[in-house]
Amino acid sequence: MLNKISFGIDQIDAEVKPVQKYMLPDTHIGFDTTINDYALYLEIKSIITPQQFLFNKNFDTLLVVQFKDKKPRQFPNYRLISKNEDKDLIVSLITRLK
Amino acid sequence: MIQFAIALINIILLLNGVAAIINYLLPTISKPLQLFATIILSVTVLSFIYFVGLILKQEFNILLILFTVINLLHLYWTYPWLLKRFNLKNLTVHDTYDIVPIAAVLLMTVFFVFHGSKYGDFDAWALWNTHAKFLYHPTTWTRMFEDPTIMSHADYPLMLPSLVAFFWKMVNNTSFIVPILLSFSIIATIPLLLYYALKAEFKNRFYAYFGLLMLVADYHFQLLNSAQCADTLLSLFILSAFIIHHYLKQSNFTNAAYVLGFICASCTWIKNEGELFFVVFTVIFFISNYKNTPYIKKYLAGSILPIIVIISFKEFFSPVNDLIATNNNRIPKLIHDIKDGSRYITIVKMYATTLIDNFWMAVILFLYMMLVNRGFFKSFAPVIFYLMFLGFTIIYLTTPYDLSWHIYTSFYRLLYQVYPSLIYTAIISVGYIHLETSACLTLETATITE
Repeated sequence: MLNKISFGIDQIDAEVKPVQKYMLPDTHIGFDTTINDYALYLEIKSIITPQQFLFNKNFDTLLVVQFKDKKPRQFPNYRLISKNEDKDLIVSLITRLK
Repeated sequence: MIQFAIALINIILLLNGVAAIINYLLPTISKPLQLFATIILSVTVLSFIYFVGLILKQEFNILLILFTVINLLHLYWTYPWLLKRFNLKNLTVHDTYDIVPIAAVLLMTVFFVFHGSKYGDFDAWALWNTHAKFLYHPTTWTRMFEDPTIMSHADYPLMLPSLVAFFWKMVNNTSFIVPILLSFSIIATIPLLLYYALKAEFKNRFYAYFGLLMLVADYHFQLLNSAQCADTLLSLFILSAFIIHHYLKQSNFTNAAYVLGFICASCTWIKNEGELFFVVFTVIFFISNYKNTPYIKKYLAGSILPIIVIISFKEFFSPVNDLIATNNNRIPKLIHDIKDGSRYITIVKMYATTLIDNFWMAVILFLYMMLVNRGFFKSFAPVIFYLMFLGFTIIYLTTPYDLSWHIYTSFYRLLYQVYPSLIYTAIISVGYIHLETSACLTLETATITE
């Protein structure tokens, strides 16, 4: 059916949208996730398509997608800009401490 | 709302301008085919105009002004023709049998609604529509090429993404409805185009109905239709190219070569496979018409604009294709792959499996053609298909990826792209054999009666 949702896009969409408004237009945003899934990166990219979002963990600002059933990763040198979560996911936007 | 209205008026004006050109270039082709040619050329031009806006990095409002100027310019020349066209006395009532293709499209609609997914297949949401989202932002769209990961496929041509982006701009949001509606419009055009092309060719409607049935009854063809990928658009353009080529040969109306050149070259703007089609088609077209200079000149003239567009994209924006980039760094391995006999066996096995599993109707058609008309296999269209498959085989043979994975994820789509054209050319060929046979029988009966 046309309402069939492939790859949980709508779930990711609902999770990422509240965080997305904190992404500044002229900064590069990297991506990190607990499952290291390239398809997930493409999925988020297809939702938000910020012109500066890249599969790169070395940028100062990172969009982090953590799955609650996986062991969470720690980012001690970063501060949280925004966070949103549902029963499965935690989506965070973090930036490196100066 | 004003933006939507202006864009809509411009699209209508563009359609009329292109209709006037088509009426001049293909004057004797049937009215439905003129309409389809108009739509196909118009969406191509729309895509080119949007791309020009992207190159100039202009916002949509500026693009609409440019679009309006282009329309006003052609309106100056096409105005008398438009007045004639919109004279109510010229309107005709359509054939009641035309309810059959409408019913077929309705069936396809039901299939599309039940089997399609909201965002389409992986390629649709991850590549085509993501590229469209980049194009939705004309001032920053070139950041699409900054993604170094191979899977972003930023080298893919932009006809479908630019059309999606144009309509998104019209409605001023990136609604998932737009790619669905666009995709569905393309899907509906393929069977209608096939039906009207065959109907225009033969008095007996059986051939048109049979062509329609082969498309509508094919489960896998329908399944691929609902993927929302650019393969459907390429399939439509390849079918159109064969229809225009047939018209050119039948009517001997050389101006049709302009349209043929334009459509064939526009395939390069849809998918990278379209480049292979264009090269193969052009070479075979030139060889088969080497004594007919007007054909070749007009074909080349028609193809200039799409060639300029694709070259400007590939030369100034697009990164190198992932297959070429990877192969450049592994020449010794490449030579080893070409010499490896097991790769050939894998290719043949997977070709056969894909054909039988996904396109068994094409296999039956192939066997039928072997029985009734072997000459078909030496004709223009099949030679193009052979060479295209030879090209695909070379790509598979030298692929840097896992061979089975590469064939498994792409070969069915290559078949899908040529499937409607195969049906069209095969039915045309069989139809003429039937006509010749019945003409001989009539002649024999007449002789006996005398």
